[in-house]
Amino acid sequence: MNEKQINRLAGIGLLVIAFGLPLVVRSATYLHIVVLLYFYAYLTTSWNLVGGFAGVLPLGHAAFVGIGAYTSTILSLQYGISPWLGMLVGGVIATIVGVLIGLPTFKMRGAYFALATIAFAEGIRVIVENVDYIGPLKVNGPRGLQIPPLETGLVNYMFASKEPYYYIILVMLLLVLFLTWFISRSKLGYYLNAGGEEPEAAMALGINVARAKLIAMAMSSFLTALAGTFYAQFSLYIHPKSIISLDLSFEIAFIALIGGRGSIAGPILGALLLRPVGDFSRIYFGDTLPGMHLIIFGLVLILVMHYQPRGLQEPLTRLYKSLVARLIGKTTGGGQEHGIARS
Amino acid sequence: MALLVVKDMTKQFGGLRAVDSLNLQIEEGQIFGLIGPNGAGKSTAFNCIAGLFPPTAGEITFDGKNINGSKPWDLCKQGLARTFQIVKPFGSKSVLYNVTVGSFATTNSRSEAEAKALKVLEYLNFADKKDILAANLTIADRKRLEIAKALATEPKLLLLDEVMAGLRPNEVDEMVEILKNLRNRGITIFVIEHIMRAIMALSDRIVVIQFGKKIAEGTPDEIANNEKVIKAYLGEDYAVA
Ligand SMILES: Nc1ncnc2c1ncn2[C@@H]1O[C@H](COP(=O)(O)OP(=O)(O)OP(=O)(O)O)[C@@H](O)[C@H]1O
Ligand SMILES: [Mg+2]
Repeated sequence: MNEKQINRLAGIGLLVIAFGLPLVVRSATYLHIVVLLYFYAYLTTSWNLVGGFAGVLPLGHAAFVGIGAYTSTILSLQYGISPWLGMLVGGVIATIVGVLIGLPTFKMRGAYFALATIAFAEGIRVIVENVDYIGPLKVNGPRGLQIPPLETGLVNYMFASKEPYYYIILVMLLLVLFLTWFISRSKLGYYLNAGGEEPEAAMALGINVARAKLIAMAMSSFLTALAGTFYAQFSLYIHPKSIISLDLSFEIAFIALIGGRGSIAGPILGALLLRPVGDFSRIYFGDTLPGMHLIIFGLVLILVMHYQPRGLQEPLTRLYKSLVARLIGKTTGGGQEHGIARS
Repeated sequence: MALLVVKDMTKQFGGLRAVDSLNLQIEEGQIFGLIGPNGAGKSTAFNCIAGLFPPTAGEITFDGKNINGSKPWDLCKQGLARTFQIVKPFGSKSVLYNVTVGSFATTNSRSEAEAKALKVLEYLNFADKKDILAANLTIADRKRLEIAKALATEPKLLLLDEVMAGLRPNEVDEMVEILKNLRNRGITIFVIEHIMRAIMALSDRIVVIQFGKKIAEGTPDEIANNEKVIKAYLGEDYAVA
């Protein structure tokens, strides 16, 4: 066996496990947890297109989740439009908003950009929380929107059991991972990486850095909004605190930074670590110390940044590579530089 | 034909006139040198020409077109490439990745871009380091990487800002040969350099600036014997040497 075959085998193995999981995990509670884990991995992977590859730190992505969730829900409740169609409309609106946010802010450096995105997202949350109607559209202020039960099935994006949701978010996650992989090997991926790391050098090499970032932002906001619709259909209840909150924006960034920004595996590893931590903290401290999970995330982030500034994916990729090397009987070592360069 | 014409170019930083009414003209196929003491405004002149910031006044014409205020990425696509005095590698990426970023300027296909990047690396005797992270390169190799990235964009005019600083004498000789070869392949070169031995050996023509102003222009021989230049820059002992 050579390296390629082992990689393929490992990939197929993971896919079999992922698609077979609901056959083994019969508990709705546990499946619910895994669905949310995939949901966060999906959100972080979408975020990664801007926050990872383009080298900026957006901290307001919850706004796009909210736009997706509210758009499809309102269109469905008020106009009877299928959530699938509403999902696409939400994606388009989020894209427009994302580009409008990106236009003035991508020229800002570091913390200023992060603060600007927080401000935009919070602005949107405050608006939704304080009005009942936006034009003819009922957003219902802080009470949020309840989605009444309809006939279950794919058409209504509504199911009696968790399994269909599980497979929908799994496929969404796989698609967005594939897209990320594809982009990272394309001209756009090279341009985003270069522009994020050394903007002046990138410009001198023919890269319109701001435009590359805008394209990434457009894709990222679109994809993020799709997950908003998923969340609405999955929980059948949305309100500003749950879906446009700063909490959510931060959690996405935490997962990315801890898992490994700009890498493909990072968001998944980050979600695998942080989601259980977050869930347990909410179960045990939820009543007494409701913000505890963010404090724990902060501590984990400090530790990871100190010992593995490129995130968990870096040592794990190295470990995986040395395992593969041992399997095919090659001596390890010398792979480190290579591993980083490829990641 | 003149590939680059700079007319009365001035760049003002607040109260400081870093470049002061500079005039020069570079013919196609030339190697053109720009020298002067530290802080004379050489890099600033490059930055104006390459579009990093627009000049305060004056007119820059590249390949027959006025390029005042053009953006760096557009200029690169028109065939004007540059290196940075303070090297700017994409440190977390391999040498090959760095150079491939440059070769994407002329193609959209990754395999094509990578193949072109490899060719550039081979040309610069650099291919054996293609998988090394740019952050781990020696100074000499970082300078070489700067040239490789710029070359990969397939320029007509290459602006080189002190690419020999920090090189050992034998590396300087190697670089001089590389630049001569590039010129023979039809690339016009505009070079800033402090190493006199190199600039004198390379240049067809040299402009000397001090406090942003041109104080002399001519062939290497004329420059080496120009009294103003000797006083301002080369030092008394250079004339003898
Ligand atoms: N972006 C800037 N803002 C303000 N002042 C600047 C800027 N860039 C350069 N200067 C100033 O302009 C003057 C010319 O600098 P420049 O870097 O062009 O000199 P140089 O001839 O390249 O010098 P060296 O040989 O040391 O590289 C210096 O006084 C410098 O401090
Ligand atoms: Mg300089």
